[in-house]
Amino acid sequence: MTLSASRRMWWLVQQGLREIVQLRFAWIAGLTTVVMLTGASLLREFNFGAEEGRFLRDYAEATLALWGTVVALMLNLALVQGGVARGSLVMTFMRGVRRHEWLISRWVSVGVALAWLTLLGYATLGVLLARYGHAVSFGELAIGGGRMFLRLALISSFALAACAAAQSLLLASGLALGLTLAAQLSSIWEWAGRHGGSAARWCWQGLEWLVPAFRMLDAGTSLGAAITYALGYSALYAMLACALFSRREI
Amino acid sequence: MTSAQPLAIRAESLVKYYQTDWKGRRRRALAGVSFGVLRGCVCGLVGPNGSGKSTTLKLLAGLLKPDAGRCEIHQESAEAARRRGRVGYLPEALGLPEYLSGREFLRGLAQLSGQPEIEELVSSALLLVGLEAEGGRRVGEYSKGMRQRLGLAQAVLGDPPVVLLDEPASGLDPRAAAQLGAAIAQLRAQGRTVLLSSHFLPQAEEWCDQVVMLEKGHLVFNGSIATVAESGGLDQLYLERTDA
Repeated sequence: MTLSASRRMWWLVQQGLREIVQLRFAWIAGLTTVVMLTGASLLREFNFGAEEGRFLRDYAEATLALWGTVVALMLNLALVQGGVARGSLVMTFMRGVRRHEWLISRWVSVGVALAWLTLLGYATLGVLLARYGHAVSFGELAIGGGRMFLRLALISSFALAACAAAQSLLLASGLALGLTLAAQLSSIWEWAGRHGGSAARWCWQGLEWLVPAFRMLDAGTSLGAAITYALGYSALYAMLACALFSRREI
Repeated sequence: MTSAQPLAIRAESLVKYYQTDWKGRRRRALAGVSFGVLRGCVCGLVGPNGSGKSTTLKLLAGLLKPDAGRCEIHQESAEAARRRGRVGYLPEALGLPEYLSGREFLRGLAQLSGQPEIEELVSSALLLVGLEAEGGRRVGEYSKGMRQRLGLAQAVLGDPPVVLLDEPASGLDPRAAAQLGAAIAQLRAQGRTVLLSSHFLPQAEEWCDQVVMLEKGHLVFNGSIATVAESGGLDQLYLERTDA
């Protein structure tokens, strides 16, 4: 008797979440809140000339983007590379679990953790804005949180693909950070594509297709288009990760 | 092994290469290894480090694909046997979840396999390895020997007819090793087939009915324990057949 693939994956996602909890995720999330609250309290006096409400939003989003990137990377490394190194995945494979099921389940577990982190971050931002007497729009916060989550989900996909491709922690981290940086600097690729020679143009154009641009998730793009864009690229990178992982010696 | 008795494990001309770098350079781990293990036998896989023991076990467990040759468990491919839970495997690197109790860990794996009567299966696996009294304790509190026995319990969970053990006695004190030996004897008594790799030759000689010896990916000996005794014992045979 064997479980269906969906039930196996549901079990694996639960296991992944338990592992994330054991990795002191609550502390990490708590630390994020503390950094946002104390940082905003200290820095709002030095708001560099910006309107205070704007400054608080920018500060909170920058903190969450940076912290979320680190968390997405570390969780993928711990769950995927750690699982391979410890040999714990072998015991699940012996129960009929397929490699792609295991990998996608890990990715979903990390996604759930990142969703919690984003929710907490934007709730903290709401508290900050209310505390300092600024108008709080629930809809605005929800949309901002959704866009932030899409960005973190993309970074998690980069990290997943990097963990599947590279056997060393250092190389996997480097690859994932490189992809994140390339996605962040997409405006530069676009500029180089328009102004460079034909070889450079092809090169940058290729890079633009391969690496998604974070600017596509900003407020300038409609939410629907941003969701489609992020989900499309996330699925692409997750499929790449599965293809690479299926060939990996364990 | 020329008996008409059916084979539980059959390895036929197994060849396996590992890629050693990104340029595509490869190292040969197995060079055409063939052997069979009869049903209900305990077979020892011995050889120096790097001789291909762990690779052979992983191939038979259906975790790796051979570059050439075939692996069969009870007349079906190793991969199919793995998917159907017909083979149990104790890996050399045993990553157990420290935060779960031994019983919770086994219960989870039994759920994942879709087994009915989970509690009975878990209890019988714990009983077999002598951990029934310790099943409620967290794995983080287990000694090395207890962890190894829990690893054996997960390998036999669900009563697979074939059990593959990679260095099961590694790092165990004599008492823990004796408990492990008793568990393996019980598996034999239940009619299950066990293939285990070991560096500790007296133990292999004591526990096994058959010995398969590998050296640099080649099979250098395959025979019954009686043949081993006739050849002057496993230590003598090991020194004669390997460079180690």
